[in-house]
Amino acid sequence: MIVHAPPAAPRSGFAALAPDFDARLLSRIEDAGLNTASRWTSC
Amino acid sequence: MLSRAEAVFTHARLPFIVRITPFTQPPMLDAVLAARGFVAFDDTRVMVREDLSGVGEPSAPNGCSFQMPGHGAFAEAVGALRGSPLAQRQAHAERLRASPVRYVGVLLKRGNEVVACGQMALEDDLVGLYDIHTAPAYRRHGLGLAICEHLLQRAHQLGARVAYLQVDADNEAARSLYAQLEFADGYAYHYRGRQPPAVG
Repeated sequence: MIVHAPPAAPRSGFAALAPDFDARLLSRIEDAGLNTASRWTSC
Repeated sequence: MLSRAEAVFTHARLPFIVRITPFTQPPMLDAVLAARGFVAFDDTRVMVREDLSGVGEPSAPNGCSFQMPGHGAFAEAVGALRGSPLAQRQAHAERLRASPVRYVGVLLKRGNEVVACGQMALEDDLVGLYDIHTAPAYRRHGLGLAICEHLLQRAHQLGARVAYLQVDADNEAARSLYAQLEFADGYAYHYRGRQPPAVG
């Protein structure tokens, strides 16, 4: 099965959070990435 | 305030780099930095999968096996796949050794050859995937999918409910893989600095 990724959001979308996700969840993810694992390389 | 902060970094001989996310305050900081000549780089997407209950039991591809080495061996294998210099591999091993959160590093091996790698960092019910990499000669054979499913399934067993990862916005191959794994864009971030950091 071939799944094509949706195009990445344009730069103008930087200020937006995806409406499909709870903003508090995304904030927790940002904290987790910043506080701990962002010291590792991204995928 | 920005000028004072930059002066502190300059005095310490460190690059002054600002991470811009949707959570950045004040919201106009990105525009302010752009107006001062700071360039944007590392356009990155944070992709999220909210429900890990549907992750199936992964199996290693034919002729391959999963292995969980120690910090040093994992960092060495990741560095070899990425072509990183020795100093970066050693620094990576040290970061893993001192990790404040639980992490699991997995190698996919074919005989003695490392063909793919990946790791997860667990924090409460969140799991982050990092260091997902497949050797160039083995790409498009489902190895990245296998190693991600292996990590996600193990994370779910350990109590993770939500998974996230960070990927370059223009890495279409990786984004396709993560879309196949039911990840979707959550938000974006980038950095601003006087100049992008040197690669390598």
